[in-house]
Amino acid sequence: MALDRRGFLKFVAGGVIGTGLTPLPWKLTDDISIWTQNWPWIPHIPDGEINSAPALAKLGQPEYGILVSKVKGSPILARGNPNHPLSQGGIDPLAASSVQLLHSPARIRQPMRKKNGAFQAISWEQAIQEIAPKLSGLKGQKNKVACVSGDETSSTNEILAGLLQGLGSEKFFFHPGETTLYHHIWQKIMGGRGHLGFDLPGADLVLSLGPDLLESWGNAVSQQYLFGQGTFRLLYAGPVQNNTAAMASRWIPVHSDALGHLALALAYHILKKRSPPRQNLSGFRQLHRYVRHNYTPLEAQKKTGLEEATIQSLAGELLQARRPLVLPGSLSGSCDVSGFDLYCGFCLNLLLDRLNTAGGMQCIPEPPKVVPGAPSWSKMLSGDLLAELRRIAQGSTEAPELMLFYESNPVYSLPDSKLTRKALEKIPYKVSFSQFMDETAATCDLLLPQHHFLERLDDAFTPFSSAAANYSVGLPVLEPVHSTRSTPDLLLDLSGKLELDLGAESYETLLKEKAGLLDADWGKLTSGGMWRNNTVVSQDRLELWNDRISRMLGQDRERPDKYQVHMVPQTDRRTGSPRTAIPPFGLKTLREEELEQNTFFIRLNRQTARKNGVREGSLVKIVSPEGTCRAKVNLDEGVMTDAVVVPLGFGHTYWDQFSRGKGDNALQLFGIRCESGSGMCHCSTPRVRISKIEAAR
Amino acid sequence: MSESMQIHEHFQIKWGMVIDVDKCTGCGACQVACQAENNIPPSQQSFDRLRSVHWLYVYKLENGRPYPESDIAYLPRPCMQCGNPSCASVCPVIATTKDEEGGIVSQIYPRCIGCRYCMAACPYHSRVFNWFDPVWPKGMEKTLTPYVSVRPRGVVEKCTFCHHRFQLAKRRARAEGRDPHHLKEDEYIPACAEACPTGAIAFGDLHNPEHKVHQLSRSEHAFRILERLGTEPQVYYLSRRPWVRRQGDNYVQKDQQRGE
Repeated sequence: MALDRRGFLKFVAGGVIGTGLTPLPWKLTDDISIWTQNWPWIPHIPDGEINSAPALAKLGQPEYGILVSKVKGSPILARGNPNHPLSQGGIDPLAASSVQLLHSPARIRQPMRKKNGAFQAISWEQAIQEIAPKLSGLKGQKNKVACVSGDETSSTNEILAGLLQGLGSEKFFFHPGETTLYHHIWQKIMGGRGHLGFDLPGADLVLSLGPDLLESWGNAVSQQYLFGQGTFRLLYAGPVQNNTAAMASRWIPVHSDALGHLALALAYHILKKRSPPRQNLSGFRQLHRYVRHNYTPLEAQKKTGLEEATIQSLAGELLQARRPLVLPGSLSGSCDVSGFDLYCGFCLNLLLDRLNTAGGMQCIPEPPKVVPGAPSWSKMLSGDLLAELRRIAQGSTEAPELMLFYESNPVYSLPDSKLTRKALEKIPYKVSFSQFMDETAATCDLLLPQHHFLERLDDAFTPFSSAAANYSVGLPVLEPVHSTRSTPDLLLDLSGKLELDLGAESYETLLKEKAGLLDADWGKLTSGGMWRNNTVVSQDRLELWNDRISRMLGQDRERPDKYQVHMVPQTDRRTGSPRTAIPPFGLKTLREEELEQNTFFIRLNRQTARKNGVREGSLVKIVSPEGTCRAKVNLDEGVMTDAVVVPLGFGHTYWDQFSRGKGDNALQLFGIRCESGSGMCHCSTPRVRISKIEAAR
Repeated sequence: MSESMQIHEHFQIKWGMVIDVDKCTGCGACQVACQAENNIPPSQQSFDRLRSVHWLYVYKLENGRPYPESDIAYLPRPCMQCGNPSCASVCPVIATTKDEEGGIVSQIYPRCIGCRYCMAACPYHSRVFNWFDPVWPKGMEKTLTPYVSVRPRGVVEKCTFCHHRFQLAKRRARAEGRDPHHLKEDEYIPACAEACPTGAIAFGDLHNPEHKVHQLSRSEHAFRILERLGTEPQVYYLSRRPWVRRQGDNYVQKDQQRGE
């Protein structure tokens, strides 16, 4: 059959019409566009039923209820729980990264033993065979076993402290922080009973003397919620315009070592205009006399650097407010606050009659004890780890034979890291329960990795700064990803081998018993609810004045002349917490003026920069009596003259690629200071020297 | 803006955001929530304007005054979902459009050929290009959400106001026999708004008087970024501080209108 011209044209026309009508080319184009973006190395998204489960965020302060979304039982993301009173639906960037941290490359996947300086994987049976005889051998010998816990709210502490008691040791320490420092000043120095809480929801005016309460102090998520609701007016006194100062109605620039003085300068005006407080306060007259003589307007101006009118107007605001609340505390939400500053802040609240009243300081009762033989919570809080490490390093105390680290990373997150390392080197055998390969775990001899908090049952009793006693429980939301174990259950097993009775067969029964003692509904607790009790502890006789207080007030706070710049530590949850490093999603949120490649930025104003011969972008060395850091300069007029803001959370040497080697650990600039009056050791914020290394930009 | 240029005013629903800058503490929870929800991969570097993929960025604003008169604010910047999106008109393959009820500017990844015209056209730097294939550390890919497909290299992406949540809310409304075009307040909110602890990010239908964003966007303190370009952003900002409002546009010294 011949193909003529007409036939050819018909064929072409038919082909064109046919191609136009068939879906094939469009389908092929669509497929090509999809499949050219669908390579095997591009991860596929999951498919399946989506649901959510309540959990309890336990990555360090703050601790609160969250919801975890799951697909076919596998967690995919964490979000706020609107029904949990401590968060009201909010979440912080660290807790929002908690699901990703389940799969962090830094997770310790199974028990490990150090041999010839390197870790080797072992089974749980081998691990127990390793530690049980060691503990058994030390049983009955006084203070040969010690423990550091970085989780202040968990009932695991009772098991740890109870185990130590059974072994004959009282060396249980909490990782130093605000809870331990507030406890020390309130109970040991001022003779208070109970534990201090702060009723921010009930206050109408909040004066923060240092704490960055919208970022790092107490339960920042709850405080952010209250701030957003506008329930209180916020005033901030401190050396830097941090997140709290930026949001506050007023920022009163005061150097960090003058915050206690500011509290007493305000007390001067309050004592003048207000009748004595109703609370029975021993030493009121002596304090009155001390303030009247030492904080006259002229003296106050000298001590605080503030104009008389500023102090007067601030005092006026406190006097006019119906429910004012003063918050003394650390600038970084850690242990960088002196006993003097805390005492002065507490006094100001007492002079304003703000104790055990709506919107004031609250005295919260102790949690019930469920482990027989375990010390009380107050007793557990009494240990001073910084003082102990100093004594061990100096040789004035015998080092324990064995030390346990639970949710604590002292090698990274304590001041004077040289001293900490020196002390820890004297301890022959160290055991870490860390879920991540952190700096402390790396120095240990045995690693017994704990479950991630989403994989375990755990609880939280009254996290720091809570307004009232509260209790939350978190159930595991998934099966463990790695071969890890619940530390409290492991300890209960070990106690059985050591023939010690800790009063519970499993952690679950222990927590149920605790819930029963609190008269809390277990079903409600495990479905994301919270138990709360507004009972407060009445005070018989608080001491505003005694020998220790007078020594504390009288001591010299001057620093050597060659260090002139005040260091201001700053914490940001995007860079983790004292026990968690920068989470994978946190790193990318750091702006160009916060971290460039592997160099972090310090912030100072133009005048300070000029004085120190540095400019925007200069690469500088920060030198303190304790150590040195390397950083770049970010000029920020929100910093007081002669002050430098140094961010914390950088400079990890272990962990994962998201935190290792990112910047320097500024904590090496800090020292340990033990106040002669209060007897309390805390992290000192030294003055530093800044010098240019080279022009970086 | 002439009427003829307001090409998308016919939508009955206009999803919008009102961000109270005076309530934003710059905590970054919104950024992390956005990354987790939308399968944005983690990066081993801090923010990199050129290379890191981010849909929501929090800018730090300064008033430029010397200490102690300085003041700062934080400004979260998602995609503005412009009423007149300059990105949509330049896309040669119609990978980005504004044609769905609600006024969300879509981004259809399989269509994108990576020409980046849209990035050049967007005055808000809201769009990012994948220079590399996304990588999650081993095991972390298990945390991918089923909501948004993973984008390969060579594709532009941007914030979609968590469009999948809009679809889910509509589907839920239909299942309950309700009108999917009359969603209740907070029935559909993006991940960033949900995560914000201070409640600085309000979200809703700007046309619906029952939604709080309707009133907030009409506040005397409300402003939009680069409003004079006529892009008609659906993201509003609130600040009682005049210097913050002034930074919303490129005002020069002699401008009559100064954002105050």
